[in-house]
Amino acid sequence: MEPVTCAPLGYLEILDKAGRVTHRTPVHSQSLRIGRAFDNDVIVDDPYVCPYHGQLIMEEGQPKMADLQSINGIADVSGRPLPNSVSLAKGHVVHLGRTPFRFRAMDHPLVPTLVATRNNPLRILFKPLFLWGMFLLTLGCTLLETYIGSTEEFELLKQAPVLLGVVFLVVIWSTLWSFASRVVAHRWHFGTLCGIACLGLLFSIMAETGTEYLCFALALDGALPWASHLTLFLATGAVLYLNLRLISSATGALLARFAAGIALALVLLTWGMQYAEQENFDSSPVYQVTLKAPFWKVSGSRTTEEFFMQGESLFDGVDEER
Amino acid sequence: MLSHLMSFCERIKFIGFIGGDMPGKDQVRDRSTKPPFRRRSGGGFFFGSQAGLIAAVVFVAGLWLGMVSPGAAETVSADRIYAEQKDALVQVRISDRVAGSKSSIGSGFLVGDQGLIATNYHVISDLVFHPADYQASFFHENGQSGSLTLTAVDVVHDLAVLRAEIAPGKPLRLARIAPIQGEKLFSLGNPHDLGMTIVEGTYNGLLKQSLYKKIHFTGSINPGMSGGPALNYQGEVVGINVATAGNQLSFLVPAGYLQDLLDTLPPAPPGNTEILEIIRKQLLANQKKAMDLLRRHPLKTNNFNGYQVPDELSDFLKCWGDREPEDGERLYEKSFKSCSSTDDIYLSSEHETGSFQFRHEVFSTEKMSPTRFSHFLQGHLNNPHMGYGGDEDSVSNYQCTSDFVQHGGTESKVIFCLRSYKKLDGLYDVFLTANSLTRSEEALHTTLYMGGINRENALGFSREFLEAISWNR
Repeated sequence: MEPVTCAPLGYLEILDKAGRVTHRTPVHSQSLRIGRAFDNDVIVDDPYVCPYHGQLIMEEGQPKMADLQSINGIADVSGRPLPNSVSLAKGHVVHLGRTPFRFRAMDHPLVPTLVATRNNPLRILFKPLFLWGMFLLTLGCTLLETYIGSTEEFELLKQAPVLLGVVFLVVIWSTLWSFASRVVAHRWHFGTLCGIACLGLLFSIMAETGTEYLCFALALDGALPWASHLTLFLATGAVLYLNLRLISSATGALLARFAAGIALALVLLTWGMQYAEQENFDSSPVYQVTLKAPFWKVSGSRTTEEFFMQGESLFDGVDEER
Repeated sequence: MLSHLMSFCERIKFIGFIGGDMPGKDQVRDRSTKPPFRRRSGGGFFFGSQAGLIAAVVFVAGLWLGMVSPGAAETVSADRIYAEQKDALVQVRISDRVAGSKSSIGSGFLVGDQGLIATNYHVISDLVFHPADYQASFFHENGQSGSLTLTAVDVVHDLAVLRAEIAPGKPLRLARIAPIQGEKLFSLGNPHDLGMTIVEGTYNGLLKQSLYKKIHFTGSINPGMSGGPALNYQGEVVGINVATAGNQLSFLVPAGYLQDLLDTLPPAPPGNTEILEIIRKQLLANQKKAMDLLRRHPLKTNNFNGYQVPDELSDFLKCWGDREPEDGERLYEKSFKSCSSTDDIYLSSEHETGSFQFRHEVFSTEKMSPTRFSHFLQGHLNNPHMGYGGDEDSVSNYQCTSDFVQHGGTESKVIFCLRSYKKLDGLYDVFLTANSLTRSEEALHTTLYMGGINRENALGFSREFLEAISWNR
């Protein structure tokens, strides 16, 4: 004889604070008792929930949450107390203790199935090996940058403060984001956040160095400030996007727009400050040019006549300031 | 050595500039046969009699015994000079029109007729660049005082002539014959607002390596004495106090330049716009004089570590050089050669002009990789080591252009910058720097600075200078 099965009337969902479903219980009977006690239909591990806290009742096909004279009662999403009996129709979320509950009917529409992307590059961010690799690579790049910038015998020990500075920066940044992650997503994600921070630093160092060589090779020193702004935008935007993606359940497109907005604001702020600085009077010439080993040069050279014809245009600029 | 010379130049810059229509060498030689103190202290009569001979023996013996001071006669002369000429001395005060308090002080003296008072331009420069804020007045030791009107300026030689409504004393005469080296001079002025002072010193000729003549005076000139006269034994003005480099090393503007200024006085005091135009023309003439000396074709060059570079372009430039070898810590070797003028022109407390200087540096390394070495050179190139002050009211910001430039068979990364003078149309400060791209382990870094030149010379000389640089190997 086959077991008798009856289709559930719906599902009672337990959510996390970001609104994601953490547990789903089918509702077969007209009522489900909820509490911390082990003889409940739904057992909740929340110290603010009473042993027998509430009961889901189906009345004429409509779900209701009734309070079983619990200490903390039933509350809405913002923590305001609700009456002893509350309708759960239309996906309303109520809190028992600090745990959010939601009822979903059987005919509730499902979101479309996502196509699994086995080669999603973001997945690599969560690999411990990758994280350690990023961290060590960042330290290595910083060390290389210091080495290239020194004109004295290079002693590794003397570079300890620089390396510690980078470590400190990464740890502080990641710790702050970790706290945010703990609050929003209930997970620390510290290692991943460190990896993302290192990725951002690495990108900045490599983009700036690459830009300098490119500007030197093609005699495009005028593009340096713009390239610097672009690097700042990309590095900040990418780090923000990845961090938000890690801790938020919002859609990727929304997060990308938000991260891009913040990065753009930062670039505009930096540009504004630089512009204001340029407008300030300086009694010395202020310029930024690149100089690399001669074999990197690709662009042709001007004759002195061509160069000073170019220089002649400066007179109009400085005369305008008079 | 370098820092010593540099600081020396800085101090000269601060205090003043000299030159003018001084007597020629022949006149100096004529004058040297009859130095004033010799005429006064003896002569044929003194040594022509037996009594005189005895007196001379006693005098010499006294000197040996330290009983008679050789300066005794001169002290009397200083007293006399001061007593006879003090009426011509005034203190020149520049005061804020609103606050009424004095903002700067200097010395001056009556010269010519009609209440004309001569002083240094740098004492009264606020009247030129801030005429609405400042006014000038004189104070005489006899208690007389009155307002002054700016009548003529010579910024190149740091002179100014002002007119007082009443002449508080008798004017001084300008000497027509230059002193001889070693002759005593008496500098007068009001140091630190302490009262009129007479300082005894020695004439030590004219400065060499200078675009304009400047008297080297060995005596203590202190702040506040600027614009005061330096007199000979006859009480004639030989020079005007202008600068000090400390340790009794002082400088005077030869009186000939003041005579030139007095000879060309306008009939009526010029307005501020006219004075600025006069200054502009003086600066344009000054840069033309300097450029005529510098732009001799072809520019003189010398070999410098395998590079042919412009060097010792004119007698008015001071040049020096040195080498810093690799040591235990520094991984590159550096040689440098540097030349600069000492004829800087004071325009205002914020702005000097007229400077001409260039510097060649050769860096080489055997221990650094090309990447590391070029990174070091990039930092050096982006740090301009020359500059000449100026403020927002007097000059624009620098504007620059850079590119790879082919010159003299070699190739360099070149940066050319300039700024304009806001109140003096057609004058510019120019900054040119170049870094050779010939070899990965060696580079020539050259910097040129020219203050207060016109457009044609800014472009023309910069180009000639760059074209004169070549690589010999």
